[in-house]
Amino acid sequence: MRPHASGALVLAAVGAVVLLGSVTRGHTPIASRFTYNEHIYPIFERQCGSCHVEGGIGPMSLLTYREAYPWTQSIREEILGLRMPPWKAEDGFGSFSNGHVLPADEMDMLLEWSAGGYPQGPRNLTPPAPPPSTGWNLDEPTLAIPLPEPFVFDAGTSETVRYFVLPTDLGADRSIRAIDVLPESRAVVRHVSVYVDASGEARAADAADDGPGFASGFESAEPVAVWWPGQQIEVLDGIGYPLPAGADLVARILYKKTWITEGLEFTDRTQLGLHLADGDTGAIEQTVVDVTAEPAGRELTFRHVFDDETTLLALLPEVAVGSSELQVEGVLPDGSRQPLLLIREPDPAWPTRYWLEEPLDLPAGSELQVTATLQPGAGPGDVPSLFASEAPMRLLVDHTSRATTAD
Amino acid sequence: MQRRFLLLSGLLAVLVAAAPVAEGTTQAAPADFAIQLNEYVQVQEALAADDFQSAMAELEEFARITDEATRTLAMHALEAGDIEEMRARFKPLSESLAEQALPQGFARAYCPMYDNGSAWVQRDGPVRNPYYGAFMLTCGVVDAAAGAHMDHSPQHGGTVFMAPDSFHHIEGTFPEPGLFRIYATDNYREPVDVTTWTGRAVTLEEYDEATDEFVEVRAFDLFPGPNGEYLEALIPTSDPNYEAPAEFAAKVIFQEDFPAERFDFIFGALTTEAAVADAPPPAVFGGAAPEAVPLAQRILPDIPDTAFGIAAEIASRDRQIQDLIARGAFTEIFIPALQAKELALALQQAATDLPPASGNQVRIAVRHLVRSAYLLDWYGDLGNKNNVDSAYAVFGGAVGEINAVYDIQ
Repeated sequence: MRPHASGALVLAAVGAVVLLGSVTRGHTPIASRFTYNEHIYPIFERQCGSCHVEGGIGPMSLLTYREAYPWTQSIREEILGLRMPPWKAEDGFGSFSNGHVLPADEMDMLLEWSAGGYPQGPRNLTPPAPPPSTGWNLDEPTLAIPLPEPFVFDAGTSETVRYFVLPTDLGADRSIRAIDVLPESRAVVRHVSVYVDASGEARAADAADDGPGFASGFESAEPVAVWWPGQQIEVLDGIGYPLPAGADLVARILYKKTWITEGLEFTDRTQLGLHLADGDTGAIEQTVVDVTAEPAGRELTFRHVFDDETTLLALLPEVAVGSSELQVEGVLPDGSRQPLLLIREPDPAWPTRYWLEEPLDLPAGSELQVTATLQPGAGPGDVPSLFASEAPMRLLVDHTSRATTAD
Repeated sequence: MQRRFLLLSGLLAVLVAAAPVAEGTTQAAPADFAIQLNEYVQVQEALAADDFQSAMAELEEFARITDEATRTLAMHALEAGDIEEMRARFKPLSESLAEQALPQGFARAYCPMYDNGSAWVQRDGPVRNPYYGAFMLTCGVVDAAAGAHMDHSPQHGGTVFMAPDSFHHIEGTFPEPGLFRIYATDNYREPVDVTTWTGRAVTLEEYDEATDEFVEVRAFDLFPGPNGEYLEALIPTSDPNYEAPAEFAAKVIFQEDFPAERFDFIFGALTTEAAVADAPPPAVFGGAAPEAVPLAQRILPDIPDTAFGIAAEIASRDRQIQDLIARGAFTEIFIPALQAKELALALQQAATDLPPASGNQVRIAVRHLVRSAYLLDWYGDLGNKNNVDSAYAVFGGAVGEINAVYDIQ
């Protein structure tokens, strides 16, 4: 029969407690080969540190031992449930330029450490406190545009979505290579998506709403930027999103508090940092692929056929129905299949645009095939769409037609 | 106004209560620290139970017997007008006690959420958070007292699982046909009185796909035996589980108003108390210090030289796990599961000469094999078969992917 060791590894290693010089009072046996100072901190810093840092949007910092160790049970559950980190696309089924899942060896280290007594390790290797991150994620932008006025996220509200109109006042057509995001209140700016509006629709909605920004009335466009804290920003080269002269940018910001910020008031004036190219750069097109079929048993499959030659750039899935797996493949006219995107345990809380490592040329007649494994008893949930689709499962595809793709 | 009056009367009561002691001696000598803590945890437990009135009454008693410096903190808390204010004022008192060396039976606990992190003292056992009460009763970590040991050996010839509270140990036995028993022990493997516990022994369930839940078809009440020594259920002769082999899902309610915890027991034969005497001595924490090598290192499997050899070893661990699950030996799954995980990590390093598609297939399989190995380890300890099965579905899927790449049947 197995001796107990805090849920995971066995046989109390009393001597290890002494050797490692940590947790001298408790009885939790140190069954982990990995220590915070030597092995775990570098992973936390790289994979979790942009949110789980003092003043960040994560409800706790993981960048000091003292702050991290009480959360080991939660850390274990979040990793095992594939809820954290929020990046979902499996490396190996498709390959991506703007993020990666926790690799198997790092996952193993975090799990062994959190279940195996979470030793701190040699004190002389205690990592220095990280400097606060205050600047842009990318280099200085071509143009920095703040929200037109500060938005007060009042103490009594836990979560709200607000749209803001940001006039660009550019005299010529330009092309967006990247949009950086610099929140003023980092602790509550949870998700930002940015749209281009040349129709004046957002201005009208803004005029109809008191106070800074507006709550609804602009739900018809596709985002040119999708950002959450820690999300690597893709910088495009030779192609971009068209930004007509005089068009507005519209920022959709999800403000959300955690238990640590609940009941507090925040004032935010997030800035967008535009990285622009000339207007004659190749233009990205966007196509919404909606579910069109009924599920067969627990499997739901739907397709989209590209009638013309297409170069695939990025995929932004939204899953509003309980599902355990989502898979996207490219099916070429010759029947060959190209793996594009695999997500286990999809989570609608962190909409993410996955940029393909290499743009994929698809001949005319190729199709995208989306397959989801539904959870038993799952019905459609109320997941707001970033691109105005009401389907329970949807995919925003960024691509270029071959003729407009720059060499 | 009324609140103010209550507050003053409370203070008065403390002063009156303390007065005879002060008269009889030169100074009210503080009680022994363990006696003080006994009284303090009455307050802590009342707050955890959201019982403001009892908490105030017990705190008055505590203020009477504690030392001068601590009394000041207690008096401050006694001025609270409601339970939330009392909790806020209970923190400095609790943290001053938590800083001291605690006698046997008491533990320091820490909740990282309340007021940017707050400590308290409680009896050694499951977390009972006085700052949140029922809202988040188990939020926090406990520094268990040194001396609690790691013994999971059965004391009645049955099977032992760890309860999700990481404190209680649940042993199921099948001593005679038609009789299923549950014994409980604490962190020190001392018997726990189960008089106030309730539960059911479920012998048949049906899966409802619409709700993804198992519905009880045949279940029998678990009721306490003499002196609260065990819970038992009487299984009628008409039930196929009347005799071995038999399977019981014990759904045990430790505390009223909390959901039942599930433990799955599979008995190939009747259990006998005598089996204890024959069993090897348990690995007891606190005896001769074991070798100072982390466990993960000690159960490391030998890693074959070739990727195919490694994959074959993973497949062999998979068969062991299937066998252990079939026998209900959930607490033993962790060894093949964690060994398979080590082998899988080694496979990822060794699988360098595969075509890209197969390499990617292995890479994804290894990640989910690692994840599910830890799930099997965790759920195996807790003895919940549904959870073990769901973890194995991921594990088996990952092994299947690896077997497909290496053409292992």
